[in-house]
Amino acid sequence: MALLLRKLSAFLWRDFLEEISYPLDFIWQVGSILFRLFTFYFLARLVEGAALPQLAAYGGHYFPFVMLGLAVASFQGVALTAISRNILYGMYSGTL
Amino acid sequence: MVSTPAVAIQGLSRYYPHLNLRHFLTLRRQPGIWALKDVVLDLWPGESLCIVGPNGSGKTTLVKLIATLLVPTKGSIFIQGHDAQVRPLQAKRRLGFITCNEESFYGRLTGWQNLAFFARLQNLKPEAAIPPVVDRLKLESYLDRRFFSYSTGIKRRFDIARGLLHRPDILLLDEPTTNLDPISAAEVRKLGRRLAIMRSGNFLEVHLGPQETLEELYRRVVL
Repeated sequence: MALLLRKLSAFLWRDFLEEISYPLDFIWQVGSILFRLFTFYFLARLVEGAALPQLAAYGGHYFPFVMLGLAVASFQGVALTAISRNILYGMYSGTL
Repeated sequence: MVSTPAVAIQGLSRYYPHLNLRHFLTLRRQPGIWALKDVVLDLWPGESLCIVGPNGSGKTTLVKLIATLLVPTKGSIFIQGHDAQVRPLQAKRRLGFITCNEESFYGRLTGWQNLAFFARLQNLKPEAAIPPVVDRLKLESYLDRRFFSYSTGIKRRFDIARGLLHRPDILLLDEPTTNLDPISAAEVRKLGRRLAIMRSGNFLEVHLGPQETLEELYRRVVL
């Protein structure tokens, strides 16, 4: 189990190093996430007054609702494409 | 007297079926290709072997089968007495596979970061595993540069360094001089010969081209 975790951490560290290897690109990506949050924050303020029953589980607030929705949608997108993409990359690069 | 061969291949065959979605629908099958048929080969400890043949003759298939990257259709491979199909991890620990595929490195990472990643995959500490190898291959001055910025010869040396990280007993090289200019190719060959002498391990290289020069370097050349 420890060996598996060590190998997993090697992959995560490699991905992190690849991501930060071009700092401007990395900052740009983080910036785009923050920009999206910023947009939805103001959209949430716009619809804050509307008492929608669907938002009851989120304390009546739109912002946590949309954040959770975006996070789940992103995770779903990654889960659906990452494995096939990495297998394809592994075959192309000769590591598989 | 050594009784166990480093690599023992018995009746090895590999068939590549011709797969196409249309054939699944029509149930009509086209015959595939036998890349290898009933190969029998022994490589003894301390021996260097070069396999020479034209394109499509199954050299890379043979090396990939020994490296346990492919499963044989028939036959068996023993690495220092371990059945490569039954105990692939035991076999892999004894093998160093030098793919000579630059794409298998990460261009945006430095040489050190690349080697450190592959060392960690082998459960090795990069700080301990990398220095002796890069020292032997004279790669110290390249470690901090991004991989994509290296010349083809340096990339090839990093490929060899990766294969040596876990100190394998048997080195498999798949056309190590491809795309190299004659000077770099000679350098890689010299390096191979030096490693073979220093380690007194095994070398198995597949090569495309004339075997005259190879006979000077290898004790056995198989066509």
